[in-house]
Amino acid sequence: MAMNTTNAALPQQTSRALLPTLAHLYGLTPLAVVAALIALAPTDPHDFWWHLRIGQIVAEAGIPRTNMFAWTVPTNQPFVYAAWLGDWLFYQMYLLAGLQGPVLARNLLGILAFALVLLDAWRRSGAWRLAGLAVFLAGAMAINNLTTRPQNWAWAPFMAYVIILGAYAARQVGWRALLALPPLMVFWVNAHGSFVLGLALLALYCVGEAMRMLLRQPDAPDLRRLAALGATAIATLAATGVNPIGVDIFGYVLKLLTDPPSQGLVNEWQPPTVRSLAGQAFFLATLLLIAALALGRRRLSLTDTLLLCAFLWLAWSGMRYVVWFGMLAMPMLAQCLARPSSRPVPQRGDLFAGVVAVALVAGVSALQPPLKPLLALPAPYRALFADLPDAPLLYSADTPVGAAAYLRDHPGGRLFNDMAYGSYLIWSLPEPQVFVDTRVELYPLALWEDYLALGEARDYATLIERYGIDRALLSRSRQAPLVAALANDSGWIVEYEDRFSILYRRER
Amino acid sequence: MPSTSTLESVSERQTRLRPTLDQVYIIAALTLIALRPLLTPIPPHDFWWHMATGRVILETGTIPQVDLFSYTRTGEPFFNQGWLAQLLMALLHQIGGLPLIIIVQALVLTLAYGLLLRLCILRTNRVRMCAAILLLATLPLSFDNWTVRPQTYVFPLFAGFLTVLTEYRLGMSRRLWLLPLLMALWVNMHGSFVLGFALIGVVFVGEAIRRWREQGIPAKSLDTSLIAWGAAAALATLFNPRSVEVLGYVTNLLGSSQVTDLVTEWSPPTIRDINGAIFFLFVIVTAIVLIYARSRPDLTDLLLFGAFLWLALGATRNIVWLGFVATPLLATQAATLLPPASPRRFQGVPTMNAALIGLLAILLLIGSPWVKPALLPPEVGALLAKGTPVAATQALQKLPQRPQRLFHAMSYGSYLIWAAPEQQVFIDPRIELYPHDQWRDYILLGQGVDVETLLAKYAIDGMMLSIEEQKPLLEYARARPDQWREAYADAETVVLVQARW
Repeated sequence: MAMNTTNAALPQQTSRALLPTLAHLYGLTPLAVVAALIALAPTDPHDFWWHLRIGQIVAEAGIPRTNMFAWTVPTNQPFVYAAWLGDWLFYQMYLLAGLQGPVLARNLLGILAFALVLLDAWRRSGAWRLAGLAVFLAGAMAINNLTTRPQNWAWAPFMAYVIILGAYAARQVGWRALLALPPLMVFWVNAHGSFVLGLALLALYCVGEAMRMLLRQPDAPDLRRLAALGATAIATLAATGVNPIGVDIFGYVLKLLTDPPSQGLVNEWQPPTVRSLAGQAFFLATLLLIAALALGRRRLSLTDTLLLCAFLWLAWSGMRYVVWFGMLAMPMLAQCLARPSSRPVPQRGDLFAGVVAVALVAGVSALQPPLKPLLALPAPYRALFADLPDAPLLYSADTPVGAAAYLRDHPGGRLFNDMAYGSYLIWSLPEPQVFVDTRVELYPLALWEDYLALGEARDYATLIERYGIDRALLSRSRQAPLVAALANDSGWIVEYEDRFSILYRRER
Repeated sequence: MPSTSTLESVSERQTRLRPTLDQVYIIAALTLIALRPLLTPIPPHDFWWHMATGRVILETGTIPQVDLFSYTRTGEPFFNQGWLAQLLMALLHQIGGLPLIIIVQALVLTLAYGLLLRLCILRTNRVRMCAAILLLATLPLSFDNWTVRPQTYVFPLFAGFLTVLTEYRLGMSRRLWLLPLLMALWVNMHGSFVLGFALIGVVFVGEAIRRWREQGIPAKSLDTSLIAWGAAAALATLFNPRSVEVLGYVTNLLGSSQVTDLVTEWSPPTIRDINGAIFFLFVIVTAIVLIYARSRPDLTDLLLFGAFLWLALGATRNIVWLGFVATPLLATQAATLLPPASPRRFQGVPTMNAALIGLLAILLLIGSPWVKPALLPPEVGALLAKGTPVAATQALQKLPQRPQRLFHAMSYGSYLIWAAPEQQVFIDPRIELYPHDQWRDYILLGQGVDVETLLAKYAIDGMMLSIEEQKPLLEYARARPDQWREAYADAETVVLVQARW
């Protein structure tokens, strides 16, 4: 009888082992919420379309090295397309699934990255509830960074670095795990300029672990483990050289970080403040983190403290860095809040949990590009998107689809355009010649100042004369003063207009 | 319960006139606090118009309820909330001129931060560590807000509130009855009186949670004494000339877009300027101390830190309040990292200690406003800061035909209100008095945008321009000698009148 009972229980145990537990739901539910948030976020024109065009050029003619698209600076002016691989991958997704492809890639990359956040938080805390909290907070801090752009390709490499280095420092993995980092860097350095964060992580781990060893702290690495870390850092540094411009990539990053137009004029490079929703989410999570550090039952290691301070400072310096801080720091918050001896308690798979997990997966899947338009989403939400026939409910409403189509049919002239529109024109026009676009570091500061002055209709007649502008594609919201000024100027007539944009032509 | 032995022993030894090293630390901290205001020339922005209003109160015996100083908003209602501080400032000036104003400023700040130092020492029994934290962390965080204005006069009231509430909750004393008295003063001096209620509220919540966790009965967690004296403090806010209207004034001020959008000190701190960087560095240092402290912090301390950190993240001008509430937390947690205090720690040689105190006294003497102009360079030795248009105003007053509708830099407006009250101003640092459109026009005109339209709109017939802040407009005027004539110019200011005069 006993044998029979045991044998009878075995198949049930095996089938249950495949099911998630109730505890897993605490992690999966926030992950699904963040995945839904990513899928629901519109893609702004700013930083997407010109990358897609570069991806096309990379695929068809190799990596470009010059301006090509703007008439305000020489066509052959050098420009570094550091994210060429990310651009190429987006274009491959485009070839595969049309304009739905890149957004689907963004969604999947986001799910992967935040799944890694969940994993890291669980690794640190041993508690799915806290891991879920970490994912939720990291997701809330990323709400300003969810648009489709090459940075998406860097999310998962960043988290892979965080997990591998963290697990190595915690002696959860051996030196072989570090072997993954240099090849990963070869991908990262060609996909997005944020690859320097990988080097920063390695440097901080080297310094932190060396200090722990010197201070003879509990569980500090021995010389052999520290040497492995150092060797990985050197190999990873060497791996950054595997890119089309070699070591000059560091010059490019330095130029970008010190480029006055980028630092002074681009919103996402500005420091976060509590006056925006994303800033509030960031600072609230930071307050929560400080409370957890003070009251939590587990301490952070010296290395973790170094990482936290460095990435907190980085996040304070620019809104675009908040996403990295959230991914790195929220698992640490989970660790602080965990019980001192919290270890994963084996739980049995649960049928109810399995049903809920399937429902979550189905819900997130339903929000993906092929299925999303089929959902009965509310009209105000639908109004946020541009009417792109091949890609409904994906690209934001201020993508100048109609105006670009008009310009394609009626080319010519020296066009002044909104910066974000420039990005879309580069993709949609056969031979684009824009005033400016979101390749911010391509243009000199004086040109950007003129661009802003024109948008605000400050001394616009003089500037129009100086540049010889005879057409203007304007954003009704971002360039309202110039829209109003040209409307009252008898020298200009409206060629095209819709809800968001308006195209003027100068009468000769 | 925290010990008071250190302060008692310090004062006991002081009576024997054999100064200890602990006393040197305390005196050095207080001296360095005093030296900063002594060596800081008074900036014009938020000083002179308060002085001028105080003068009006002194002369007329009434508090102005409308704008008396501008030609753009003359007669419009203006809530003069800090009337008592303005009166005090004007009175001090009448008695002892600017030097007395500066001396009182130093005394006020020394009192406020002296109270804070006392509180930290009471809680930690560590004189030297507390003095070091105050000097190295709190003061750099707070310096930016130490200008001569009504807000500074309420720092001791804030420190008093914090002391009374902390001593009460830690069982050191029961002086909650002081709260209504302090509030009655505070509500007549500055709009920050609402922070007194923030302190009471956070302490109430923190202590309720603590009692609840200790006793497990929610109903017994409420502190009736705190509720009663908090209510009395709320009633005390009615002791002001406009009674409950004062709350509407504070609400309007906080919701005023021209205030929050245009005034630098109302904008959130960022690490791109030195004061913001110091603020964020302070937060990081506090976080590190909290991580490594050997005991958990007091919940109420942590709640106070969180609430005032949020406030500081919203506006640079609130950082100073964070400094007050964060310092005791930082000190108590940092104290856990040090070895136990020894009652027989090295106290130096009394003669040397006395010599050090004498040296500090000499520094105070050199920094005093009667001595420093003769001994120190103008950056620290002058009584008035660069940018105060003293000579330009005198030149303006000597003009045979004075402009009636003068355009000028905002800070100049403040000085003109005091020094040339007959000259009505275009704008001044009473930010909430002027509508947003006027502020926009002020900025555009200073930048040389739409000049002709804006000059015509306000019928401007004279300009007193800051070369640093309004260069484009100055270039515009200089390029049109047929329209504008320079009546006066120095390295900072240019006065222009219409050429036809």
